Amino acid sequence: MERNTLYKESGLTLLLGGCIFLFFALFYPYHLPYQEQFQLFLFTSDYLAETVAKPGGMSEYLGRFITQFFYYPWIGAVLVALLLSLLQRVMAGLCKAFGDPSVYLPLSCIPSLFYWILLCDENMMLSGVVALLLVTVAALFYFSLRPVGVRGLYGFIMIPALYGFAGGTFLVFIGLVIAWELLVKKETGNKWVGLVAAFLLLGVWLPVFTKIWLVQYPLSKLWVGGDFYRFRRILPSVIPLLWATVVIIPVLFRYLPSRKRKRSWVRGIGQVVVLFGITGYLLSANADFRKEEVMKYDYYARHRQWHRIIACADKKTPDAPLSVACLNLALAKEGLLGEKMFSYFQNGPEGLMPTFFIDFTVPMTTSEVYYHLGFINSSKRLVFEAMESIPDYQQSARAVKRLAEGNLIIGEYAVAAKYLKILQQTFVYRKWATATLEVLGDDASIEAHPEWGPLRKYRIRQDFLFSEKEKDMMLGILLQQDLTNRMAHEYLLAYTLLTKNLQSFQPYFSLGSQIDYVTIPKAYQEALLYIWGLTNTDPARSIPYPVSNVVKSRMEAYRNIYTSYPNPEPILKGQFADTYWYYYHFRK
Amino acid sequence: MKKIYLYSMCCLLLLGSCIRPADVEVSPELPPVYPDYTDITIPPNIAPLHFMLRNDPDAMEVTIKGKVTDMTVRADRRVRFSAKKWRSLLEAEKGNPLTVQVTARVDGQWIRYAPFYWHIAPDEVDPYLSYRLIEPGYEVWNQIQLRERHVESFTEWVIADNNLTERSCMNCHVYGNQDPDLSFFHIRGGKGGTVLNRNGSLRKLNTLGEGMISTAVYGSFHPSGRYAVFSTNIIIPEFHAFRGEKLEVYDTVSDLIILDLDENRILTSPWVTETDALETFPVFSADGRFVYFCRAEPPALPDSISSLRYDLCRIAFDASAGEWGDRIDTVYAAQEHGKSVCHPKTSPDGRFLSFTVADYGTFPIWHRETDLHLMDLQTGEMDPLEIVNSDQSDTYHSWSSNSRWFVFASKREDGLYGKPYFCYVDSTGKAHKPFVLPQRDPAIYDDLLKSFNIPELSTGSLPFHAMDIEHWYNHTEAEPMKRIR
Repeated sequence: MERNTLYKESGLTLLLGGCIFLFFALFYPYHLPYQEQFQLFLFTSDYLAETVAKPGGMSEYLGRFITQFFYYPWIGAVLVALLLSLLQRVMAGLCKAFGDPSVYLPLSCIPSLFYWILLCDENMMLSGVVALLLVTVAALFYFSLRPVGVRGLYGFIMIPALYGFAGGTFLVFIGLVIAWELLVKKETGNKWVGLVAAFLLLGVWLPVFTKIWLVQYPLSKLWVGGDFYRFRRILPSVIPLLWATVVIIPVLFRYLPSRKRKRSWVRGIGQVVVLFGITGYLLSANADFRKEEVMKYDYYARHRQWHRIIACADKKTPDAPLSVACLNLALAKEGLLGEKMFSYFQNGPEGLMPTFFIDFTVPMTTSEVYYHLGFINSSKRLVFEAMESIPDYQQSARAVKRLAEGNLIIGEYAVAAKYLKILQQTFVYRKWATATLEVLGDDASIEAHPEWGPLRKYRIRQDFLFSEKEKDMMLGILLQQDLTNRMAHEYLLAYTLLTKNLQSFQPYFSLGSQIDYVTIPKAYQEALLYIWGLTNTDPARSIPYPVSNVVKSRMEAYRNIYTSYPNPEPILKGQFADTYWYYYHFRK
Repeated sequence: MKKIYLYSMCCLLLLGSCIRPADVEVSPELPPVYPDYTDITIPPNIAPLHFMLRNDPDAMEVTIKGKVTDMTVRADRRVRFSAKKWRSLLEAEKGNPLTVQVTARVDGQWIRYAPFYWHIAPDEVDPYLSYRLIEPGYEVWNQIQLRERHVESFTEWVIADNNLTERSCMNCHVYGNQDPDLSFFHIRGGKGGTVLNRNGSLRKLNTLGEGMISTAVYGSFHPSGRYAVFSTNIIIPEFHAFRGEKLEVYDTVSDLIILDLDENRILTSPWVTETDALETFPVFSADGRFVYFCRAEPPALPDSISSLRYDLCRIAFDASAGEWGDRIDTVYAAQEHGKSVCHPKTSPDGRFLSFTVADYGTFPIWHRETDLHLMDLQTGEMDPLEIVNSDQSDTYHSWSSNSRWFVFASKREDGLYGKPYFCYVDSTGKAHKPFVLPQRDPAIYDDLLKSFNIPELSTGSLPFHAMDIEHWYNHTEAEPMKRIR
């Protein structure tokens, strides 16, 4: 290869890989650990055997192997960039097999760019990229074989093998080799006709034969093979479209003019600009940055990075219920819920303790709230239900870790040990699981642990049945067990404030007499003053609680505006959006 | 270089399996065998009892000695037996005890542990076992499979998979007379119904008759195969907040019905329907003359769930006339003992009635205090089966056709994941220490995040598999049942 061409090709790959890396590392990082949490990749022979024993199983296995490293977002970004760059290099090789790629080489980026856009969908699985790589590399090798008999033999071995490894993507291999035989090789005689017909027949009958052995899969599923999308029963139409481009683009090189003209580099750059421009547009249309924000809050909550959650909210107040729930959890963990909760957008009790519904994402985040409050059984239930709802039947490493922690806290050591031993067979969680196994059964160590100790201390000690409609009652029981449980008290008061249950606020507030507040948190001062004002003419003077003068004077100003204007909301929003009074009057 | 490496590895492996004990230290303790196969009674037709040691040995020698023959196996951490030699051993030693001597090298030191015993019962267990494999979840289910296992080997296959039936919930599979040509299970969902496997065909029954509170739920066959008795239930799940308590499931209403499978009739009786009492878990007696079931007067639910207790009752049934009896007898007044009865099952010879006993409620699977009990119907004596039960839930059981074995689901290992255990009941009625279903790889129970629900024994292999159920679900028309009041 000419040095110049080599530089051009390498430069193109580097540009592609670099852009993909920067996108996932800087703009879309939290989609990667989101993917990781919905699988449990085990380094065991059983897991390997179980995963590969179906069409597309090997690509699933390899895809999951890579996805486990998405636990670390930057490493995930590197791996995605590497995979898609590799796909581009293989595509360039395929294009060369059909024609001269020098002028139109940037077209070889199309499948990688296409997959980059697809991977913005959090349900698009990496196994699809791996499957494409497997079949395109196999096709590249096919093109290097000279005798038609050897090619035929290789094809007959590889078609079923690729069906097993890459599922329905094996059709790409068949498409590529048939196109190459027809357009490039053009063997004399009828050899190629037989070859092509045999490959086609094999391709058509393979899924039907497979159904005999794998009875538990519907035939429609066997045609597709492989889990390229998290919702197994759906094959987004873009995936077959992508497969088609992998065949069509090399074929195009058979017809594109190959003769080099002057200033061909201008054309090359033009193609790059157009392709990357279109990709940029499609990325902006397909990437869901609202979901990315929710995933960011969830990621920080999962990793107990409370100060980062608050810092994010300080930059831009979240409004999605799950993000708000994470923010309120972070505030409570930092002892700021009563002080700052109305400094941010609040969307009612759903932003405090979201209601359970069958889904694999929301209960996972909600379980963080229940866990840190000490409702260990509810936390376990939510992660279990989330894991059961994962559409592609996978287990969840995050859920299994939480189940291990929860059982450890409530003293169910046997089942905790089971989960920990399973996590020992993972890459990411092995170290944690081994360290945790060492303290299993050691009550003194658990009670001295900075997280498990308080949770064990505050755990539920009398049985009751969980009730979505009576969360305040549940929080009340939790608090009554230990009146020094500040988080339970703050959640109880927050729930009361968010549900606008002023009647209960005062008695619940007095339950916190044993909690060592230096001053009454701002939101509570505002509520107390407001409630006092409902039955007293001069609340600022007569209120028996130590409410600050700032709160008193703001209340006076708020009252003046509220009572003086026919539509005071816009004015109050500007000056008092951070108060409970504004929430009470204007938030639904 | 690679070849040398490979040869070296092979040689090392071979050498490893041939290592013989030397400088052996004798321990008075039993080896840490997993699964717990120490001092158990096994049927002469069971698959090899593969096991492992929990203390991570790097070499083991296991010697099994009987009255007639013996066998020695060397292994690393997991002991596996040749199927052929195992079968010969069990055949030769039928009715005899086997002494199992384990010598293991742990941290470089050979240890000879105290021997333990496998008593080979003279009676075989039914060779096929069906169960539902499912994660022990709460309200949500993901993948559900009904599987059948040949207990004389490790062969297992799928008989139904919700992957093929639009992810519909599948209830457990129940045989009649342990006969593979007589069984049923329910599939919920739009195209669901009750799958009836009878006389070589699969039928789809719509068991929701006029005025009934639900379709058929828990049930069993009449010995004739013509009738099946079911409960109909409105089932409510609730979730505990305390300790390891998990799920509470109770009925707000429940009744009993009998299906006439020849004439598609639903036979009801005012004694067991249209009453305020809750009736559930019905089974026919071995001779078919009675229906045993659980009955409770409902307290205010869910607040008083802990005082919901079921007695064991029975009502007559005349199969020739297809008529219920007109009186309910209490067989075991569990409430008087502060207990609640579930899942009664009569042994096929009619001698025993086994059931589970919990502190309260109707869903003993999540009650750790749940134990199996055995009532001798000839003497009325009750055996609390202390050798069989554990400190975790021991519940749903199924008899072998010879009434000498029963299989049950136990959560004894971790309190969460149920596994099938086999228990021998000898001719004197004495129960022996149970053992868990052997697996090809004994470590599989460690990694498996699924429970074996409702294990049921049968004398032969089922005549259908998952593809037939897929076809049944999509293409079989449901047969309506007409309620006869």
